[in-house]
Amino acid sequence: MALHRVEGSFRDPEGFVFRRDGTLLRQVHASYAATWERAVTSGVLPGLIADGHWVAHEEAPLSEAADARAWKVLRPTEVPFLSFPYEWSFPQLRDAALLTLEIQRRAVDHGLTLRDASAYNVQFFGHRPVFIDSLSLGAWTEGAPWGAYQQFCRHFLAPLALMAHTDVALGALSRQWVDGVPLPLAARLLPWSTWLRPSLAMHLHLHARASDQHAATGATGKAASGMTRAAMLGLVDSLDGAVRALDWKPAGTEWADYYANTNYTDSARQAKERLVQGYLRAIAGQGPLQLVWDLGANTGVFSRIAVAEGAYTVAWDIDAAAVSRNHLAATREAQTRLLPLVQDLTNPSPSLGWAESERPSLAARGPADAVLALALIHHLCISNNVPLGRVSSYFAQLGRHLVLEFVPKSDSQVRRLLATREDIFPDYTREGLEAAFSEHWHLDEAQPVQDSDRILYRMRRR
Amino acid sequence: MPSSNLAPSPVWPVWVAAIVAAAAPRDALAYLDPGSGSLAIQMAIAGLLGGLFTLKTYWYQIKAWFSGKGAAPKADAPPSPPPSAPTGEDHGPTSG
Repeated sequence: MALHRVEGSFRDPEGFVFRRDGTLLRQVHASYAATWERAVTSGVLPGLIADGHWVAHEEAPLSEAADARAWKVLRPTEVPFLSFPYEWSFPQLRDAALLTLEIQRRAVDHGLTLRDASAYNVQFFGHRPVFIDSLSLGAWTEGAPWGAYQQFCRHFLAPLALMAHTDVALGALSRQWVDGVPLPLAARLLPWSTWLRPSLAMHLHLHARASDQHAATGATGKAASGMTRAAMLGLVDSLDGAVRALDWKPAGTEWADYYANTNYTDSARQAKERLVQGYLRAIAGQGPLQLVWDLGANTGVFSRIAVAEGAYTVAWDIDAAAVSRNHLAATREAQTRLLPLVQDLTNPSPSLGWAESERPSLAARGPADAVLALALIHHLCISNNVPLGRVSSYFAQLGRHLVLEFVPKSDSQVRRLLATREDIFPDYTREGLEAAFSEHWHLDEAQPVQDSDRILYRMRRR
Repeated sequence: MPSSNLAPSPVWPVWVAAIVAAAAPRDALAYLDPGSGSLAIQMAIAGLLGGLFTLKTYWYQIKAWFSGKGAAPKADAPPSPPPSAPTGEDHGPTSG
């Protein structure tokens, strides 16, 4: 039987995640038995699962274990699509932070604590953040501090404060520092005015200074006693208040009309929506349509068509404002099948972490059953100088089917891109595109988009 | 989103003073290194945050009593909404 350890699961001595014949399983070691029983019998774990805060699981037979250390084997509900903090928009990271604090609050009430507060312990089922590390609870006795306090500040509070108070683009720091943004760095990048916010001054600025000071003096890793239950709940409440007080909105724009400016009349837009729907149905007729990636999804108009066709849909966009807006809309709609994420396709998420395999790259998380690339190709080919053949070969790594909109040079959007630069793109034509893409794809269908010179293609990977 | 920030600005000099409080060390057992500086500041602010939390809890109880809304929240359960209003809908396995 094929058994594969999940590459990112190696830090915790109490167990690990692996796949057996493709099924995701979590092995729990005997050393964790007492904690597990306490988490279950106290009602904390069942309550968190019932409320949708904690990933559900079934118990698997012990014979499914990966090795002899196993005391129990769990079969957790699979996350439809793995995403990482550097791909989340501001409100997604904030929701994940509040979830982590809510779990810690409930745990403390029952003599338990979160042993870690990594943002990677949270995954999204559509708009809903869910804690996925089944072994994160540990025993807590009054007096002991929260061992994950610093990790919470690095993984959540620091990037949220930087996004809210310095620049939303600093969310990308989480991609460089996979164990969270170093607090001294965050403190240096935050404006001085954040000293006036007691919670940020305490949990980031003074925390950073204390980290520096103790690192410099070589202080030993000793904890302190005296963390009463009220103090622990007060700490969690203070962090909760700090997170809730942070907000980010795109400067100078009203979100309501942020993306009102498009190239389509209402009837043309509806015609394009029907065309995309028809293409997706044709793809579903040829095989599974469970996972769709909408590249350059904006606020997710076409992603929602894919959701309606039954696919779990990831709505990627480079614009943090569009992704934030899409997530907030998905939350209002209680969308559990739509996941908006930030992605720069000219520099996609690489494999990260230990041995370059802890956090898989964008392509390694594919291929999707279908990729939507609507009104996107001119940004890749004209703005970023990527030859059509290179776009074709990369898309062939990402998906089995492709719905691609060709935006020709006669289109006003492309004319705008070419207005300030030399046209060095003689192959950027319908004929050039079809020749380039034919190498990796069967061109199954091509239809004009109403009221425009654009063409919508349906392709199948060779 | 409404702020439930615990420490209003008039009290902020208090925690600056609290930061100098000494903490008695003992062994910490965890697979995660909590960071010695992080533990020190946590203990320094613990008393202040614990006190404020207790006051806040009493304040909610008094408010609830005067507004006649019945039983006040338990001292160990301050009113704080969970994130993202999870609904417990089915999230069965799909492709991944």
